[in-house]
Amino acid sequence: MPYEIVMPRLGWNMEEGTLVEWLKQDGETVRQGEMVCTIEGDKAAAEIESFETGILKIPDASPPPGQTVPVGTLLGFVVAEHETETFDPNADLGHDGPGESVAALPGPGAGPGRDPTGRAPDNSRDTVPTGRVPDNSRDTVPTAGAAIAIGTLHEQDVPAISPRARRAAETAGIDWRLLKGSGRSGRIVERDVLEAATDESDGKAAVQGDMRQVIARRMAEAHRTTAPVTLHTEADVTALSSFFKDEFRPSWYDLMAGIAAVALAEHPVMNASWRDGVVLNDGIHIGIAVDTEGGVIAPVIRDVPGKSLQEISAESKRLVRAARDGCLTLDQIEGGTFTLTNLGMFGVDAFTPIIHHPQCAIIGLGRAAPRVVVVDESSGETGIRRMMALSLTFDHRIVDGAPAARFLRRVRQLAEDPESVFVDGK
Amino acid sequence: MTERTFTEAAREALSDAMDADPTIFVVGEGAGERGGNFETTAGLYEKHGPVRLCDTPICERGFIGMCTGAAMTGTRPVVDFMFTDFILDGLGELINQTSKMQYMSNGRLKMPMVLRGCIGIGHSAATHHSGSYYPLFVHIPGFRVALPSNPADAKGLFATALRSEDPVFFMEHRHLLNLKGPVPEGEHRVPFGQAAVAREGTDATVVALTVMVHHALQIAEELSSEGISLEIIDPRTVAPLDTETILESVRKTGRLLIVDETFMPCGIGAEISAHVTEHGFDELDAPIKRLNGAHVPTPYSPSLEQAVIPDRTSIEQAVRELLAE
Repeated sequence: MPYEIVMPRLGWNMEEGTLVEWLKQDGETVRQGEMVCTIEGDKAAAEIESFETGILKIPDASPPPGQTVPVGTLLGFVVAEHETETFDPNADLGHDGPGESVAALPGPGAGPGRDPTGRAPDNSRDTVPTGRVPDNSRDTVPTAGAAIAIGTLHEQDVPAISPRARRAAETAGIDWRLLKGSGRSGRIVERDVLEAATDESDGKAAVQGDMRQVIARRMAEAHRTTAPVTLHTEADVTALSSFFKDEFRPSWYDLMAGIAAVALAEHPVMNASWRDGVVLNDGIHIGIAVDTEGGVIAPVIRDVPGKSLQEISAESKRLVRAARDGCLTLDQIEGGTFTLTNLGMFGVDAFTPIIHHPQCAIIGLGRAAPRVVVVDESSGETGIRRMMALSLTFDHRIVDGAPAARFLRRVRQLAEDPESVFVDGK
Repeated sequence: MTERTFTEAAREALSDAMDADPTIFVVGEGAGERGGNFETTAGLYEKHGPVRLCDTPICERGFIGMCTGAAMTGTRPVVDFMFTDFILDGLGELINQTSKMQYMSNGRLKMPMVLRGCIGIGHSAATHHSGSYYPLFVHIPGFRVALPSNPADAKGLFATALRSEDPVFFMEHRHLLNLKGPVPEGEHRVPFGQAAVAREGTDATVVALTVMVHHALQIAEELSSEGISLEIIDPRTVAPLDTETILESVRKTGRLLIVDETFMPCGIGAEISAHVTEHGFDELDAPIKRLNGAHVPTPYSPSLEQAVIPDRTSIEQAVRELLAE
């Protein structure tokens, strides 16, 4: 039974991908666990691993390297050696070509993995189309990781793993089924897990490729499909500024992420996404826009409400560094539910940020500058306060102006009373 | 510290104990005037006389029964078997009476009896003089089993055996009898159930018994030049068995090899392996490996004899196989 290699879905939003290059040539022997080709998705590239041993057969209709094709497009086959005589890759392609595969594809927000209530499925796992093989029970793979396994996992394809290695994988949060074992008969042992963990932290699943293209497409898509409205307000951040004295030096992003998380929990619709309808998200994962050489990218601080300010700060520092080094993993850029962006350091007072589609809203942080303001209207008392403009752009399809304004007012209140958010500066 | 042979060190413990405790006496074939077949009692007959250094006829079952009775009445018999093989002639007494007497008397009677003898293959002593059999005694409740691997432990474990209220098997590998090493002077006791980490390492744990400790240490030294780091554990007593030290080592290394000259089925390796699997499953990065003597009667021919016991070559091979798992 030939094993099909198709364009995988590397992330929830990925509609199409590019075959960057074949790492094996047509007719070459491929071993189980070896990488066969490199795929570039929305913002990340990944090497694709074969789960079978056999001969690589690339049909004539397979997309040439560099061409962008829809997710699910057949790229090639791995054929068992004894089947190579009788197998014709081009004959097979006839009834299972890209056109048909695409038609059967689950788009984001429609298809398997989505339940009838319209609630979002768990974003941490994604469904990969496998062509004709209707084995839905096993054909899920994580959206991120050094190696993306595709195709149908048969029982014998799940590698053996030592108890110690399994525990190490759980601790490191690594899906060991994607690893290649170096023990006897391919058993995964502890060192394989530890090496994979090191690779991940080194950023092997690096963000590569033409980021400009990706940014252009996403920005245009957001502009075309959303109904953006921007509200401005000004917050007195004098008290909040004092947090910069903390020894772990939180940034504006860290402080505002903590504040936004509280407000988002109270206004869940602002934390929603649009997927052919309003989908409330379970977790609050806040992206932070980072300016890099390649362009802007928004890595995601996960589960912000569960983190202390210090943890948020540590996480955002890690993400910013990874973004600048160009080694963010898919895991780190996927799954955001809300975004912060900051142009204050350039002296920008206020602006109209673009929504990070399909999220509901984004807040732009303007510069925090000392201003003379009226402290007490009745006495006419004025004072010097540090003021910051907050620009909330929201998708009017998801939420109306008044609830969005209430959310922004709440953000301002919390920003002006940071002690209510960060108890004991945490 | 003084340099002593294994036998000298054990004899020192016996001599000191006999000086301090008049209830201790030794029974065995040739244990008296002759000073023991392996010089285990040399010089003691002259000092303590024929009552406390008591020669016996060849009647193991008889003197085991006699000594069991003597221990019940409050003395401390030391039975010197020369060869452990002949303990087997008294198994009925040992298992049905000696091991059970404290239980049967609700603890009113003690059983302070030491049973000592040579073990081990390797002197063309053929199948009746090469046995070890200690797994048999580990299986029975009530016995203690000490397996010293060096002169210091021989003295320390024998001293502890001579103060035990339980029957103790003190087993001396023939290859070790003339082994020299530093021995603490004066009072020196090694508690039962306390393994020694003979060498620290990180890649794999090797539990080795008696003479195998020395082979394992040599292999560890040789393999260290390849960057392989072995941790060698010497349990020193197998009843009680210090499983915690073994588990602690496996927590570090994730890999375990047990090297024991005795037979594999139902042996010490099986016991350790089962214990580690039950209590340290998640620590294991590889299947536990055992290396034992062949499951056959010991041959007389030197070349065949060599073939049935683990040696440095087979230990090295087992270590490499374990690391490749």
